[in-house]
Parts: sequence; structure tokens; C-alpha cells
Amino acid sequence: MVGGNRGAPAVGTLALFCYFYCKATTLMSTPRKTRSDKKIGTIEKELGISIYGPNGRKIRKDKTVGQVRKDALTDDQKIAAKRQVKVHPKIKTADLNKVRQAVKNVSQK
Amino acid sequence: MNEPVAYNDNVFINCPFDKAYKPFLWAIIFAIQDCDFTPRCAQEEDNAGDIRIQKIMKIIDECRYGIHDISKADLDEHSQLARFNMPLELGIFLAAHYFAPPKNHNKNKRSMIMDLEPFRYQKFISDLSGQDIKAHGSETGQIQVSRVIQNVRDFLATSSRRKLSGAAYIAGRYELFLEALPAICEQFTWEVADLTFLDYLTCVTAWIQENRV
Repeated sequence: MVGGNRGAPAVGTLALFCYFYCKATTLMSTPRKTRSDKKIGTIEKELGISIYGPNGRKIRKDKTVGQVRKDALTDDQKIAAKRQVKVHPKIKTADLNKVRQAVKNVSQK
Repeated sequence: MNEPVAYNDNVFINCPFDKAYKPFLWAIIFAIQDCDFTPRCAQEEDNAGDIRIQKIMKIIDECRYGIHDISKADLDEHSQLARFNMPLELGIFLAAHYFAPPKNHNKNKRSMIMDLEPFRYQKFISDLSGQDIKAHGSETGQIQVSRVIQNVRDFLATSSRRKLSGAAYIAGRYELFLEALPAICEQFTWEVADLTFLDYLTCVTAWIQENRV
């Protein structure tokens, strides 16, 4: 009697493991949705306005924001957008932040 | 010997530090920083307690790349003597590469030498024969900022095998930066002409962080 029940918890654990494994793999295989995955048509509906590209023409409704952003940049700009900006070891972060604020002020003028 | 931190991003600048060369030094610094590398030079240290040559050797040890400008081969206006700092630092850089033991980080050193004309160096430093010297002078014998930027960008792109933006794009950004620089300095009561290496580099880094494309 005792020996007959011994396998039951093991089967239950295995079933649970299989359930969570399937759930996890399904979730992981689904591409993560971000803001740039939103379609232009959806945004136009939400805001109630038409969206125009940098050339002044309307953007296709079925394009995502990410696609539009990529298309608007030149090849040089795409490369430049990806770089980290390295900071010289002797530059203090506080000083750099002050100058960044000054650059912001200048560009706002 | 362990590899220094960010060794593969550090670029040693070996060039004249006089007023006449300043626009080209500034262009080199901007081009290096805009290509996502870190410019290093002897002017970054201001500690009178350090021995200068040791300071320079320490910086050379920390840099994988070296940009050497040997165009200042004329006599000094006041002393009427030639300056040998650039050839000396070039020699230290080449020796660090040559004498480094196998598998040492200094074995990966890459350098570029610039002069006004491609073969002028043979008249005053002929032992460099066989090296590929990049010219940055115009037909009138003046250094051109656009060619300096082009040389720096091409050298870093080729030797690091990283994908970098084009030289014309970087030169365009440099012009935009120069337009904004006086207004940035005004906010700190700094004089543009008197900016130190680190102050100028802080302005460059901050501007690039705020204007990424």
C-alpha cells in the first residue's frame, strides 16, 4: 500500500514542471512588445491627428514607430546613434553634468 | 602585466601643443571622441610632482592606438632650435610595441603618423622609411582640418575594425560644435582660447552626449 503511493508526488511534480516549462517557453518565444512596436495608424487614432514624416508626406498607417524612426536616419546617423559616449577617466561626472546642462541651455535658445 | 582599463578605447595624441596647432589638436580630439574612443595626451596631467617622461610612458602604456603628428619640423621662433618631443614620444610608442613580450597588451598597439606631405619626413627622420605616413597638408603647405579628421577616422575604423560614421559627417558635426562652443564657455566664464585639454574634452563629451546624431 505504502509502496504504491510512492510515485504519486513525483508524477505531480513532473506535471507541474511540464506545465511551467511550456508556459515559460511560450512566453519567451513571443517577441516583447515595446512602444516602438506601435503602428502609426493606432497612434493617429489615439491622438486624433495625422502624422507626417520628415519629408512632409504622410506616413503609411501599417508602419511601426520603430521602422519610421530607422528610415528617417541616414546611415551615418544610424551608426552614431548606437555608440556609447566614452568619458575620459580624469573628467568628473559632476563637472560633465554641469556642462551638459549648459549645452542644453544653449540649444534651447 | 595586466591590460589597463579601457585599453582598446584609448588613443594617445602626440602632436605640438602650441597656439598655431591648437585648431588641429581640437579637431583630432573631437574626431576621436565622436568615433567613440577616448583621447589621451600628456596635457591631461597637471601634477608638477610627477616626472613628465614617466607620466607620458604611463599614458602610452594605457593606449592601444597612437596618433602622431611630426609636421612641426621647423625651428622655434624664439629659441631658433628644433623641438624633439614628438619624435621622442613616437619612438617610445614604437618601442613599447616592438619590445612588448608575446601576449602582452602592448603587442596590439597601432599607430598612425601624419605629416604635411607624404615623403617629406625622409629629409629629417629617414629611419621611418617604410612606414605609411598620412599627409594632411594642402598645396599651399597648410594643414587642413578636414584631412586631419579624415585621417583620424580612417585610421580608427581600419585598425579597430569598428563601424564608424563617415569623415564628412564627423567634420559637419565638428563645425556645429565649434558654433556652440563660445556660448557653452560663456556660461562658465571660460575663455575659448584658454581652455585646458580636460575642459575642452568635457565640452566635447557633453555636446556629443546631448547631440548624439
